[in-house]
Amino acid sequence: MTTSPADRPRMRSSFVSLEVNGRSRELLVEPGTMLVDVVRDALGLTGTKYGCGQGGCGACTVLVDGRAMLSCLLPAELADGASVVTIEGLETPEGLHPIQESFVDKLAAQCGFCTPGMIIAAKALLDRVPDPTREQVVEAIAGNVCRCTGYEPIVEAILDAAARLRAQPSS
Amino acid sequence: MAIALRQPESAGAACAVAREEAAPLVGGGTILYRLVNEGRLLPRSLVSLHRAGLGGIEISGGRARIGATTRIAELAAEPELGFLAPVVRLFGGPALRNMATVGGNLFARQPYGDLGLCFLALDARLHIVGEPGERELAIESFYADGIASGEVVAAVEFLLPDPGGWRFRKATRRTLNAAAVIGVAASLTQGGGRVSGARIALSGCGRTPVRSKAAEDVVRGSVLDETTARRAGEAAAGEAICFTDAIASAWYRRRVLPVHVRRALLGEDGR
Repeated sequence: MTTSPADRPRMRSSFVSLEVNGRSRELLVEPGTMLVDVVRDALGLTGTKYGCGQGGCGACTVLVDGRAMLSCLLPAELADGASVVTIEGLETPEGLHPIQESFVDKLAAQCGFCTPGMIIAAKALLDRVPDPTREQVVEAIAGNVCRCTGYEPIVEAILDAAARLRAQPSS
Repeated sequence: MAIALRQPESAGAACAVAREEAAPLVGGGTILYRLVNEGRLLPRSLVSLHRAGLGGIEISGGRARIGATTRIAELAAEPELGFLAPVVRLFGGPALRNMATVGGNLFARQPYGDLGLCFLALDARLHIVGEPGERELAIESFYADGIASGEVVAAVEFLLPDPGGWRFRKATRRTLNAAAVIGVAASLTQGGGRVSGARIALSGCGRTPVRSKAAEDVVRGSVLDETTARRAGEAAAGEAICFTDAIASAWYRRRVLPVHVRRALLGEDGR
């Protein structure tokens, strides 16, 4: 079903409350705006990438209430009240997150387009499974496409990050 | 382009809004929003079932009732649905499974829709909410006739398969996150060393998942051994109408179908 713009009723934008990377945000959002567009365009957090727009590449992966989700397929209105973590939310004043450090050290990024989604997918895994097997790592990034690395450095980086995180004193 | 997103708080209200506005219903959005992003679907409004209270899994007396907006990932967390774990594992990636819903999967186009394939083998009944009220619908009728515009699938209900009686196999071009070349799901009951009941469903062989009654006829009353499984695979291939898409040609699907039916029935590991 398609309609011309002239047929369309006036639609009001609505306020959406989000906690993004620990900071409360209240945003006026046009109906049907996807979360990826809010994050990138309204908040300027361009680490999250818009890849395929079909849920097939994982480049737009963010954490919503702790669960990995595809922000290109999630209207911002449905995320109202949720806590959202993007790649920018991982870095601390002390420096990069251990997963980011492992990606650097293991040369797990080439063009870098998939990297934010990969790291968020890895965080979703490691938050739940601190000591994953190689198979669990592969399954955790099964929805994230990388056309550069052949995945091996990414898997190595996530296993390395798991070890680094386990070695950290628990806070 | 702005699309109004309605978020009614019951299935009945969702039906009413969908009818009034001639608006598509949407569950997790993993099928529908991609069409919106591609500009292939530009409705004035969409009716999200997100807040309609249709989530949740209830299991009692060997019967499971799964609410339509239950996320695929939630199935993996339910021990009594452990037989579906291999299905969930091969369903997209983790982020997709956190979004896609059980009810939505019934509307996935072939060769997607792995859960629908399983529900067909399980002889599931669908709870439908619509204008005259609620009704139940056998899954085969759903696949044959669909539901009316403005009706909502509220839940899927089925008997848990017999212990050791469940079979699932999905042939894919890569190990994870891939659509089926051929999918096979079967629910078998056995007694006295023979198969007393069998429902065998296939994907990759039609517009929707389909039952292979020819394969079921071979298996029913027989000892489930290599010979029976091979004959069932041949019978399935004899009546299958496979299709060509970007995943595989109809010729290829027909060639490998008997192999995967045989391996599924024998419970062989691997893809």
